[in-house]
Amino acid sequence: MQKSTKNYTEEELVALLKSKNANSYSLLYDNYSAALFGVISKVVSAEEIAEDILQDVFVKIWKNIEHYDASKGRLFTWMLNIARNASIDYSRSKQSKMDGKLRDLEHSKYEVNKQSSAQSNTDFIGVKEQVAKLKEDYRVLIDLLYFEGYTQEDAAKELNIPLGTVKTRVRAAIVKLRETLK
Amino acid sequence: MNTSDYISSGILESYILDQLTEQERADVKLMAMTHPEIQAELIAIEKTLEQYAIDNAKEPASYLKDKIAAQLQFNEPVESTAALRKKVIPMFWLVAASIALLLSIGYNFFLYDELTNVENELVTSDVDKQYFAGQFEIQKNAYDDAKKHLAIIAQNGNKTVILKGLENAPNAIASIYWNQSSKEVYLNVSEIPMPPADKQYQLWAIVNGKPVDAGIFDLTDNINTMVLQKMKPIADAQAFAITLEKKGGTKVPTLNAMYLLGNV
Repeated sequence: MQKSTKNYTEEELVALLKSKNANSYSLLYDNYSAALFGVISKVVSAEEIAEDILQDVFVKIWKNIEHYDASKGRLFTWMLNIARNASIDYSRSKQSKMDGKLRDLEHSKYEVNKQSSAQSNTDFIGVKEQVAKLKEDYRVLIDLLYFEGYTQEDAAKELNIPLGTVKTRVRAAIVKLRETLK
Repeated sequence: MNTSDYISSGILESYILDQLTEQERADVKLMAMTHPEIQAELIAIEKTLEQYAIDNAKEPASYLKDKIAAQLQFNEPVESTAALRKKVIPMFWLVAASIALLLSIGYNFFLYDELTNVENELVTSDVDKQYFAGQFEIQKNAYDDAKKHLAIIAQNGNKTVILKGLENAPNAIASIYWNQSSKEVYLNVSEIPMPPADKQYQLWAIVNGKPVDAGIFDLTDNINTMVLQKMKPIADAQAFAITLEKKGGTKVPTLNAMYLLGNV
């Protein structure tokens, strides 16, 4: 996915972006539009609305790039926060009432996962499936916290698991991710 | 907590996922600043999530790139020098290079000057740092003393004897903290006249009607500060008294120079 950033360190990329010329925009867009669109699409399912939000997000990034402070975190994390907040703002706003209902429906898939989790404790399901199931639980949790901006408390409620479990799972999930992404 | 426990506690993940309170965030920042391995772990977590986001990427419609570009303000790219190059003659370059060299030398002097300034500032800030470290040390010592003193006063089996001023100094007041099992005697003077340079106050224990020397003591400039002075150990006493004596103290108290007295 990371197309041309291979040749740039993050510092160089940021310096380029701050120069605000057309080339640096192209670089920014080619490298990050898909990842950011992915994040937005996790929260807002309607394609055209997600596209509108993506536009707003890039305008915001472009306007605020001077304020990006590398000591506070990586560039992508900063952009992701902008994308996530824009998406959440939209989904909370009045005009998204209908869309919200769809979102509720969408989230009912977590409910299904939770039920299958109760079953997976039995001997009928093999180790392989259990591992897959665990990975799925992890993925759902990271999606809620990272892409959708849930607090750990909200995630515990959503997934109907204790807050303590959420906390221990977050670390385990990221460790697991690190292994698989290596 | 050692660093590997800290890392495995999960707090760093919560930090990156923005799940912490202000206080917790500040703690993590401090830990990251002071422990390179924690800083490295934070970056690794961030990169992992970044990679995860990239794996979940969704390609937006291709027309969006230009549509967005139309809404942005671009700075002019740096002007190409290729057009200029054709017109100029070699002599121009010679002169230009010489001027550039001169400018560069001048600029170097300027930079050197700047460097010296920065170095000076660094020295100043280092001096400041040392000053604050010194101040901190002083405060810490004062705090440690106060803590020690408090522990002495609060000791089990302590007897507190209040000494009150006599005719010589009606406003004077002092306290004795006397531990009858360890025999230790501590003195705290709250109010007493400053003695003349050639004189010193001396504490006495009155044992069966006879004065027993319990040591001489000096006053600090500010006797209002909580100062506990350890005196000579006393096994038995019915009263304590303070007299003003010649420097170094005496064997027998000067009775008309008695300043404070307190019964046990």
